[in-house]
Amino acid sequence: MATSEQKPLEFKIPNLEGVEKPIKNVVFRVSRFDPDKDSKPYYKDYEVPVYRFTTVLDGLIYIKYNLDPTLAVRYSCRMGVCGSCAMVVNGRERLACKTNVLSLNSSIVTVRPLNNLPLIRDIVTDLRPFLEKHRKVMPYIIRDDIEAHQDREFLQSPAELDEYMMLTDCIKCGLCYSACPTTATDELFLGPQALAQAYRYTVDTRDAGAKQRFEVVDSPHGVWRCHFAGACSAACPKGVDPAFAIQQLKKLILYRRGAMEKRKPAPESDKVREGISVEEVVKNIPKEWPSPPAPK
Amino acid sequence: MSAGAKFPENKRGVLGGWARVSHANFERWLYLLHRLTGIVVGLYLIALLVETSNVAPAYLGNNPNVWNDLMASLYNPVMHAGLLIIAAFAVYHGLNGVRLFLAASGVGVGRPIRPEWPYAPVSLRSPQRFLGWLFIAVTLVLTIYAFYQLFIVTHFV
Amino acid sequence: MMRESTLMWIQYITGLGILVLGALHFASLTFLAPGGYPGALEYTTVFSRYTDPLWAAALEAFLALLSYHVFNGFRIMLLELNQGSGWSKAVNATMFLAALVVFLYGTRTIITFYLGGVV
Repeated sequence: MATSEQKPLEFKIPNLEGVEKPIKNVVFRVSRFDPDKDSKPYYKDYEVPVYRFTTVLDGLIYIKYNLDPTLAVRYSCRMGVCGSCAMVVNGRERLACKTNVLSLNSSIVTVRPLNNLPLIRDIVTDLRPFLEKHRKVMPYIIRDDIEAHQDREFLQSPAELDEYMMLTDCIKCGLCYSACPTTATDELFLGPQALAQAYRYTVDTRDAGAKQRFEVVDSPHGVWRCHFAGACSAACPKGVDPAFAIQQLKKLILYRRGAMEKRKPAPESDKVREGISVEEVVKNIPKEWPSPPAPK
Repeated sequence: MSAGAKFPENKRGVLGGWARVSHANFERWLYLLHRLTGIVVGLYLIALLVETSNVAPAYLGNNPNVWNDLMASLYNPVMHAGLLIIAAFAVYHGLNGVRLFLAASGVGVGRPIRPEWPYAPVSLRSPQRFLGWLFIAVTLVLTIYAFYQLFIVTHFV
Repeated sequence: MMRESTLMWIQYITGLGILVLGALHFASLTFLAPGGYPGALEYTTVFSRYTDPLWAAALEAFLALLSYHVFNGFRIMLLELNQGSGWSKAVNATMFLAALVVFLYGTRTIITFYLGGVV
């Protein structure tokens, strides 16, 4: 067959609806607040054309670029890894960049700032109380010899890693803090994020700071003001499950306090851990990485 | 900096906190019920103590008539309905409390996983959710029994 | 006062105890009473419940556990409403006093009934 007779590749995109042209216009009801002019927030409506893949963040950027440049909105990565665009959309805590407008199934999209945090302007809140509570639980490895030996890794088995690996996915977006029923009335409550990170570091076998952290979280506004409403885990966009961590932290405080406070942290990789020989550790290292889960 | 100085708090308050009913997951509903039932039964305890204790002086001289008169005056369907509600609330609060104690002991909340999209949290899929439904069922069963005692037995047996 | 975890431990344990004693209370008012619920409110039945040492002891224990559990519960709810130091101190003191008052008042009633109503 001569090459000039080859037909051009034909393929059909199954559904072009909403890709080249907007499907409809959706009303964005955005909470506005100017601290110099207003005494309290109010709603302002904007009509935004929505494509099939338009996210709430796209809509807000459209408003800012085309309709109202005074809108203050915080965003950064626009792909769900930075946590900057956390806000309350149609009554639920979500990341704006991960919320498809059409999936909300509503002609009005109500955008409000995060709950329970001081409001700076429009939908931008002051995250400092949230971050200071995180700092209070000492979210770093605490051990006596951290300065002495900086040239070797610590010995930690995959099982020990799995105990806290889930909690390292936290992006500090503040959605859990906003959803928590206790933070709605108790401004001294540490919040689900800080408490989950307290657990993440306490259960990390490389850490020996359980005593200090227990003192912080076992306080009148610490872990015991959590009543397992689970709203934090329901709101978390990364599946960190702070509710799980907090219940486990309660368990450590109730049942394992002494053992945790006296626990020796994981030794460096050239040292022998009590009761285990280096040969045994080496023998138990898996030959291959565990295979990834099968695609669904 | 006057950042948010005029509207600094932005706290949702009780109606946005434990009393919030919009966009509440199952455990949040159970928490709300736990608080409501706790308040009601707690106040009932105080009322009951006052009621029972005030009849004590009637015992001076062993006078059963005062007691029986008091009971007769409280013997009406409205009071019985109230008692039924108290019974249901107390049973729910106790059973949910057991579930909360188990959760705080690390029982029934699952094991850590490596999160994958759509990131369903493990603690909200774990046995404690089944326990929650089970305890609601048990509460209903015991409420039906209390109804039987309070209304059927008192009027028809 | 005590560590918050100790207070919560006691809250959980009293809760379990209340579940058991509450079930006993519920039973004594329904199927353990002669004639079901109406019979439970008869003077003779009530009198026997208060004068029998085991029943009276159960009632007293029930009251003790409830006093702690109820007022600690109220304390937790009230402390979450406001975080000022004045409010916190007032709530802690009031709930502690209320628990004490309720316990002593109830104990007085139980002892009065136990001794046959004659003080």
